[in-house]
Amino acid sequence: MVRVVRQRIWVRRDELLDAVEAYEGTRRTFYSYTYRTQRDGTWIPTVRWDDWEGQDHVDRYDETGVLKDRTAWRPAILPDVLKLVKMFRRNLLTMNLGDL
Amino acid sequence: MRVEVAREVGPADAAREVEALAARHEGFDALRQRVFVQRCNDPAATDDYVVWKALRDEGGTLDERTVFDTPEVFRALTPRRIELLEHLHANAVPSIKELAAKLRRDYKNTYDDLVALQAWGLVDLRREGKNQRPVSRVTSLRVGWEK
Repeated sequence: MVRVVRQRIWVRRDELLDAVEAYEGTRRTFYSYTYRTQRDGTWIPTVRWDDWEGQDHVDRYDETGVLKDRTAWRPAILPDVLKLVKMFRRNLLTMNLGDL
Repeated sequence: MRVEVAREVGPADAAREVEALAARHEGFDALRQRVFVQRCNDPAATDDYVVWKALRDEGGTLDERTVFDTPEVFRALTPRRIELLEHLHANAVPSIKELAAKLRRDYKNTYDDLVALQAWGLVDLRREGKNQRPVSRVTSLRVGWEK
């Protein structure tokens, strides 16, 4: 039985982190943490950590929401990602995400 | 400070969620095609696929939470708007006009308050014929300090 937990965490009025985690029992089978910013009334993905197809990685998007680059990352957990988002916010767009 | 809002997703909500997914993606197979074959790199599509697949599976469930990690939300949570949320939580209301009448409030102020709550994801305004039906997305609201 799959249980999906979907969370929306507002960091500011125009910045939020969307988290989707799937569990089978207590085992996490999927996660995604998407930091979105609002531009002209539309929520644009900015940085996203996920393990889609079993590959832990972080994606960065341009100002129109198109994938810009992808970097391998350690398995992400929500409290760590939230801490990074709150600490660096839009600066994540220009940082070396692999070093975080 | 954190404000945590939870929503219980019952069978009717899950069915509505699946309807909304179907409308957004033209069917489960079309979404699977986009995600796996076309590799669309669209975060929303991938997340929708995970949610939809879980809800299709027997016994699959969805929990939903909203967390406000910013005190800015208290600008939205005025006493009148909390009263609106409480009323919507306890009562099904067919239209904004009826909600305003029930609460003995002006239509425009009620509408403006609903739009403000909608911007924070606390209320849905569902188009039903000529009316917009306000529906609370909140089943519990908890305020606490972050550890």
